[in-house]
Amino acid sequence: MDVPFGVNMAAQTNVLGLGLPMTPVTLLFGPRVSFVALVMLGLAGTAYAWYHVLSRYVVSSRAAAFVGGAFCGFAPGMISESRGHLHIISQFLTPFIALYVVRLTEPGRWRRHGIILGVLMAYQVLISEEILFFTGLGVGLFIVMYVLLRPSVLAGFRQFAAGAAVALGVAAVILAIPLYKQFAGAQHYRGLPFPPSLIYVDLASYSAFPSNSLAGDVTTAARLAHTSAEETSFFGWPMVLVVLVLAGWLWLRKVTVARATAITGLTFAVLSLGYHIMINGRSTVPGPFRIIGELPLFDLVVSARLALVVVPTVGVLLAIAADRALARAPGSTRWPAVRRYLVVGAIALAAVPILPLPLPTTRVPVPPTFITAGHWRQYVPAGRTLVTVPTTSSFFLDGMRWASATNLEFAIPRGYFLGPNSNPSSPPLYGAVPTWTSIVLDQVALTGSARPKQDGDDALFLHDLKMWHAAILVLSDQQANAPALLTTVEQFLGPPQLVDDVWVWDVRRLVDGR
Amino acid sequence: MTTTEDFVDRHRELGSAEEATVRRRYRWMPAGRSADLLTAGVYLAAALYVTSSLWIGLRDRVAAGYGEQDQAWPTRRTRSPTCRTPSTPTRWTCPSG
Repeated sequence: MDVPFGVNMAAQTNVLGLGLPMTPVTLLFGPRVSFVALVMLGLAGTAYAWYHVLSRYVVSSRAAAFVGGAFCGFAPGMISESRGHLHIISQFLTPFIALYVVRLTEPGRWRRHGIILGVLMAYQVLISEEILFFTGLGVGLFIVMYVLLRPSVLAGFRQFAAGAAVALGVAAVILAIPLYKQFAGAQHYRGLPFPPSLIYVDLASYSAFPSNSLAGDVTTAARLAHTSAEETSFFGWPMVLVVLVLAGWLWLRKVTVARATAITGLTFAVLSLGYHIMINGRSTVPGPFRIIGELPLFDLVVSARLALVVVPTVGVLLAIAADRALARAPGSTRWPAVRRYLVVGAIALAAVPILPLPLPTTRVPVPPTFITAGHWRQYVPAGRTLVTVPTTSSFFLDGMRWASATNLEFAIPRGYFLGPNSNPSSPPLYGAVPTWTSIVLDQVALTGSARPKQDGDDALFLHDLKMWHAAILVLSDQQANAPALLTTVEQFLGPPQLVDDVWVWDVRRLVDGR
Repeated sequence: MTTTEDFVDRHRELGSAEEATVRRRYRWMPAGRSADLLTAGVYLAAALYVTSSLWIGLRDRVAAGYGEQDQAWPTRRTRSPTCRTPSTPTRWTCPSG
């Protein structure tokens, strides 16, 4: 991608920690199978990881752990993110990271647990640095709250600090090269293409039903969320009500872990509201996120995603509440039996409206025969690129789809990735720096109006083709506004050849200056 | 009892006799490894159900969103290939710069 500049893979949401183990599947069955399998394993794996930790360390009842795990893996926020954010939904290391942070307090085992924690953190960086940061924030706040509520655990502080130092040291050694590449390697960048403050959570969204659920409504969800993949806070009003009641019940019963969890969840729910608290699209009062929003790293946080920290806190609270209701006082009186049915029934009823549906899909054009039959090989020698018309970007992804269909056997200019701007002090871009040709072709593709050639355009067009080491330009008949694109490019290169199901302009001689 | 168990506050009030009673009452619930396997199976089945539309459309379908609104996000807020909302000075005389 992005010939001749390339892409800094360490600075992308590259999910190397998922992609590398899936290499055999990708090579055998293609990237689409790998992607869908990873979505499936991300959701189920996250749920099971939480179930495992909850059932072994937090609750006595497997059924209660099942409830908590199910919520952590299949909460509306997770389903929403599964529309494309593999790095967000693959949280199967998160509960183990939380567990080993806590286990650092075990006397005599801080070194062993520190090493394990360091390895887990390093691997999580290869899946998602963002989720590791959120995990650190969530677990950190939980521990602070727990210590405040039960100061006696401070006795283990010394081994905790030693274990934490070991963990950070191990992670630093493992990650030294990837982090160096990310922050100082070629095509590195700083910041985000957009101000993160733009993506916040509307308070009303917490009680709304997610679009892809039994009770969901796309119109309402679209009004409250920025995109379909960011419905992080849609819990539905019955679940909000049940969780508040159960948290209150556990608080009154002085369950310390539930208290610390509830405070952590509530804090992140409030922070997710961003710089201004919006209710049904109306700005009300300043949000507490502005207190920390300018701090290093926090200035890069999409506050809406802080609601993802609320998900496991709700899962843990549901598990503890179900556990208390199921396992304690096995029916010696009428009230515990009623309480058991009440708690389990309330959780079940609250979960029904937000039960997920199969992900909605839309059709995309299949790669043309010219690509799948390998006929492109006759035109694109090593070191040269296949240029799609329009060029590949976040708006037009054909180039990347076609390249992935051939296991990346040919190179393309531009693409959809995070990269530096032409001015290093400007925010980075989604994709490559726009060029004259890429902008013209994007305009034509979006508007359907051919652009009449003007004086000097030939030189600009040729400059871009030479920069991209172009071998051929390819226009698919399935491309929107293909006739206008054909007319526009014909002005520079003459009529194309029709090869299989695409129009091809062979520009090798032109680019070589022959 | 480990410090971890103490830290996470796992309730230990469940005495052995009481536990036995609970076991009798919930005999229908799988326990131990079979519960783990059943849980993993249910979670996998649920994830398969959620992704079933993607598996069925493996050849020519991808996850869909709100449509226009999702597409508008990068256009409105990051950069505009149509030059309607130029976001950097080089775009002011778009496309020539």
